[in-house]
Amino acid sequence: MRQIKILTAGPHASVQDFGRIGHQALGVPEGGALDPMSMRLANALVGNDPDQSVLEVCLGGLGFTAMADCHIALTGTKKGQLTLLDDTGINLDVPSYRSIAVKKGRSVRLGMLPDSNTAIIAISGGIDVPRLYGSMATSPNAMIGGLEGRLLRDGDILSLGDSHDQSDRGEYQLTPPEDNSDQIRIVYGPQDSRFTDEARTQLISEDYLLTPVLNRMGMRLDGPPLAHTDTADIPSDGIVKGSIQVPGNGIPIILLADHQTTGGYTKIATVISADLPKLARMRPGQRLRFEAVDINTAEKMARKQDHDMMQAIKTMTPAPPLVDQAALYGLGDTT
Amino acid sequence: MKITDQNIDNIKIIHAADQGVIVDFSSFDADDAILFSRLLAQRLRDQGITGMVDAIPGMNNLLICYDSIITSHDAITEQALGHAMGLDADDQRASRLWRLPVCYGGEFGPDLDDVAAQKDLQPEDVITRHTANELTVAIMGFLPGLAYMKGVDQSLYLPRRSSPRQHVPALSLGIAMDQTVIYPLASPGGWNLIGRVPFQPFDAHRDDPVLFRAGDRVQFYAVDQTEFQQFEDDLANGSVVLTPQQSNEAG
Repeated sequence: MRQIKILTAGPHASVQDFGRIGHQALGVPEGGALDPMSMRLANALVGNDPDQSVLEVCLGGLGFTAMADCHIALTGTKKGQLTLLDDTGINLDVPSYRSIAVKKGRSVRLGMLPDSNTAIIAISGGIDVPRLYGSMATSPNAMIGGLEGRLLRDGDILSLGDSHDQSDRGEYQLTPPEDNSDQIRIVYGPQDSRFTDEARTQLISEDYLLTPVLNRMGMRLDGPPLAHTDTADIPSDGIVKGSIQVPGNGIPIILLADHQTTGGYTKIATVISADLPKLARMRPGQRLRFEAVDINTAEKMARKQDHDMMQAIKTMTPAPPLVDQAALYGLGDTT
Repeated sequence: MKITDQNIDNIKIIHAADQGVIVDFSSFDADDAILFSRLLAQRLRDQGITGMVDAIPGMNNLLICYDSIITSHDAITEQALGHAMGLDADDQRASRLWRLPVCYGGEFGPDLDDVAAQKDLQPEDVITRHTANELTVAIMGFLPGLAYMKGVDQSLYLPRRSSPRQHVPALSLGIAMDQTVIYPLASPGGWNLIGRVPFQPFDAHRDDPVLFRAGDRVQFYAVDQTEFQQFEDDLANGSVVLTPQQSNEAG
């Protein structure tokens, strides 16, 4: 059986896919990768289907041993890189957005992410854990999916799905679509009328910082409190990813993939779907600025992003061989 | 109450960016609003709307989640309103009735005495009143398998606790406003905890992991700790199976 063994799980790593779609009316959270775009790219690099299960690594710090030959790829971080460890102690650094063939028995390590909060590691064949409502995605708060409904731990063994014959698959690289701005686009509503005009203006004119109170359910912001015209409570209703919920204290919380399916707090605005992956990569302490757009723009941006993703995958090219340090520093029999 | 040409304009359409269209029934009677949301969700699911990824009934609206790469808010709105026409709150499907045990008070219901004191009642009165009414599952939400059951006796109305607990044990039963919930999992929570149940509202290993559905009716009966334990054991060894009664009576 093809497997990997987790050596160090780091603070927050989990098995993810596109999530459990269509069961929120039973209280079952959708979940799924916080950055589904990076997941698509990583899967493409190793020859997987777009929705095959991957490792989502928040903050970094994941190491594992391949117990079978496989291809792996890291995405969601520009500066982060994988280190391929050799038993001779010679390490090979592998940049993100390229795949690498890993031989059975070799270990791979991802250090702390220098530039992103969330990265994806895809492995050829995908991770194979039991499905619930059609998905393997881990929702730790609901204790479902992944391995026993929890984050990964040191020593966990994960099965990999069957991979088509990978032995002659090459290594690939691609260029992810550029997006460097700290602007997060929102559409006002559903309950923006429950806020003062000042609060509505404040949201787009003031800086809000991401606090360390951040997990797969949501991220608390730090900034000027947003005032309600009346109470913060509404009759409970459904929630979408990216909802900016404001409880009575006026401090906004952006709800993410593992958000509870219904809630009773007013939501002043909603982050457009195209900016959710970028949001997932932003780090505590980072400043974000909201820009208000209309729904037509939001929909256009979603289609543009999808198109850009397809282009990036289409223009994937074979990757040049990585410098073999053993050869370079004369530890082999050359030079 | 029925949605017709005369009142369809009372439905408000609200948006959640390019992800959700909210069909808002809040200008209708509260009981009708819940039913309209639920019935519209059912209709849209039955029809298989292109690009719709979920339909989540709330207390007075329906959130339709859609994929903006495949469809648009205009297309979803048009189809939602088209299918809302003719919805009839009397047109409910047969609802199921559950009779289920609760062990009230003690360590299982740490707020029972407090609830009684606040309402000027004896703890036994709270139990009697909580078991007297048939409750109806208004919506599901918050956590997998969590049912918001409405219809709690008016003499027990209380707000949620002013400071929520960081840890509410799984299977705790809480009351607030006119509602009752059972926490399927350990979770933070602000409801007044008056008891605990010996069955799982959510069990990922069951064929149908979620026990309740919106529209189900629930009547609780009180058991002591020994009976609670017995019920748990019977469920575990299969000598008791959780089954509802079917009924055509509207909830």
